[in-house]
Amino acid sequence: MRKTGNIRLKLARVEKGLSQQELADMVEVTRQTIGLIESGTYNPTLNLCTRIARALGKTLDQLFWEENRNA
Amino acid sequence: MRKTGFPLDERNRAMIGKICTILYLITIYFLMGDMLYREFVLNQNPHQFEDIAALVTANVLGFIALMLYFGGVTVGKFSFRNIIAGYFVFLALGMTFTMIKYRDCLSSCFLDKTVIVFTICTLMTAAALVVAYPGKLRIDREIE
Repeated sequence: MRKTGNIRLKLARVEKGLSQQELADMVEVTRQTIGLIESGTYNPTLNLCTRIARALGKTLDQLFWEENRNA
Repeated sequence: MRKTGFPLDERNRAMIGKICTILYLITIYFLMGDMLYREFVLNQNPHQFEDIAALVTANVLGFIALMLYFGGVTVGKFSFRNIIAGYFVFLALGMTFTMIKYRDCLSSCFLDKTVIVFTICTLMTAAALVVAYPGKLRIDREIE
């Protein structure tokens, strides 16, 4: 299946005026990890999702919930 | 990311864990293959590679014990029937190996070797249970 990436995370980050490195520093991961989450290559743990959502002032639903994703 | 120390986030740790597990299993399999090769192809005396045997035994037992204790993964499937089945699989493997290894003196040493195989299998199964039970208790405590 083709990876679509997480465009909402990227938009929320840009909206907040943060670079990938700055967000990575805030949630204590590497820049590569943020990049891979945004590209849909890496599935973060719930713990990291929560930290990212807090850092960007969003809810988990707003950043990670995919309404039409097939199981 | 903290600037001090070695930067490892959850992705790096998961990746390193996977790599280490794969390399560990490859190493153990190769060491076991090496022992079988020395035993059956080179016809070496077991005393000549008992250091490798001790290393493999300690590693595999430690690996299984720690997996049972920290993982608690298989505890849910530890029904009485599965334990008995595992015990008999151990016995069958042990007896097969023993019969192949001592095929020349099987008539005279069969009973001695059978006792050894039974003892080792029983001890291994008992040790697995002794380690798994505290692991189950620990996981149950953490869930509560």
